[in-house]
Amino acid sequence: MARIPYFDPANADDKLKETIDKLPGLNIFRMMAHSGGLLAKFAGLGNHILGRAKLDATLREIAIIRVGVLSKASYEVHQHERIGRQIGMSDELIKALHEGPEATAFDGLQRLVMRYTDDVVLNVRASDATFDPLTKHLSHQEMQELTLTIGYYMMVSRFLETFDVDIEEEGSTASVDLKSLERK
Amino acid sequence: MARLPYPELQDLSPENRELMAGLPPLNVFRMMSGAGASFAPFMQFISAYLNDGVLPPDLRELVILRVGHLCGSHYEVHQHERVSRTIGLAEERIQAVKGHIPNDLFSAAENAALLFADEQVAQVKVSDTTFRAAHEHLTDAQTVELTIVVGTYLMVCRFLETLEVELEETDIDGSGLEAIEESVKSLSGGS
Repeated sequence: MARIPYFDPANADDKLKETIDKLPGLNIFRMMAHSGGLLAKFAGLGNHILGRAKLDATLREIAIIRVGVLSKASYEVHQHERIGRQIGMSDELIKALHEGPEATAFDGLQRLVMRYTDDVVLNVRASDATFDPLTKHLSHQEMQELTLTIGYYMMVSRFLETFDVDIEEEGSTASVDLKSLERK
Repeated sequence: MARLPYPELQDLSPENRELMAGLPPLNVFRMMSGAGASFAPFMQFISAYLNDGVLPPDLRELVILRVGHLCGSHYEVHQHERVSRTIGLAEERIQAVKGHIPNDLFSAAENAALLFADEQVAQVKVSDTTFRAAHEHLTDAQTVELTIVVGTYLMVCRFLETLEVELEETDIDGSGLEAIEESVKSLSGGS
């Protein structure tokens, strides 16, 4: 159970109410609504990372889910495995994210992203051994996007775990709509 | 030298170029202007807690410095020591945040928030005891913001260290926070 009660939208001012109405009814947003105006900016950055980046969606979800696994953030892993399936990631690929970079399900580039993600999460500064090979496949912008994505989801994992945000009940349809993010 | 080249202004999107024109000339922003569409929302996000946040600014900066020390990010610590001095933090408090917590130079709320930050950095989930101790001094809104600020500087430190963003040759004047606020506000369509 969450460590503090979810925000009661009855206490929201007009601007916050508008933000809450626009977002999917996920528990992460219900909890973060306590922060008032920060909610819209937090979600705005997340929406751009998910919907407006040049980085390939599968590589992005590999990094995000791996951060969740390393952070033992079950809510984050749950939500992004859902997104991963929506964009066509196989069960085998998703399972490999729990095993590590050397799992056989990864292709060459996916393995490099896994190694880089582990290195950035654990060591802050990625070593030449994980940084350099990736730059042969990704543009400078994509390298930046990947790095920000890893960091953003480290933050998200910490928020979710520290507030014990509950996974939505079975059958909940609340979800981030990737298609609508891309259209904006 | 940074690991990726700093982008040239003429190669940026109109939005990122417009934003760069108003921001303090810091290498972290020069670098991140190359992150495409995420740059403006990143700036709006940090401006929200830096300029319109609910945490006391002293406590916020102490926590940011603490995360910088824990991550070993010289650039981050350097910039936020400057911000801290500008907003009036005593030098001995700025130095003390490198060391053992709790420390008598910090208020009970600051000590509780710094211990919260230590645990959040090291173990993701803050223990019940540490959560309750911080929450005794902070409102729900402040506790949420504290968690977000700690997490954000884990992201920022990784960006800085992995891309090897270099310190500027000369420091900018002041905190730079007002310039961030102004440039974010003036973004077309941005609120």
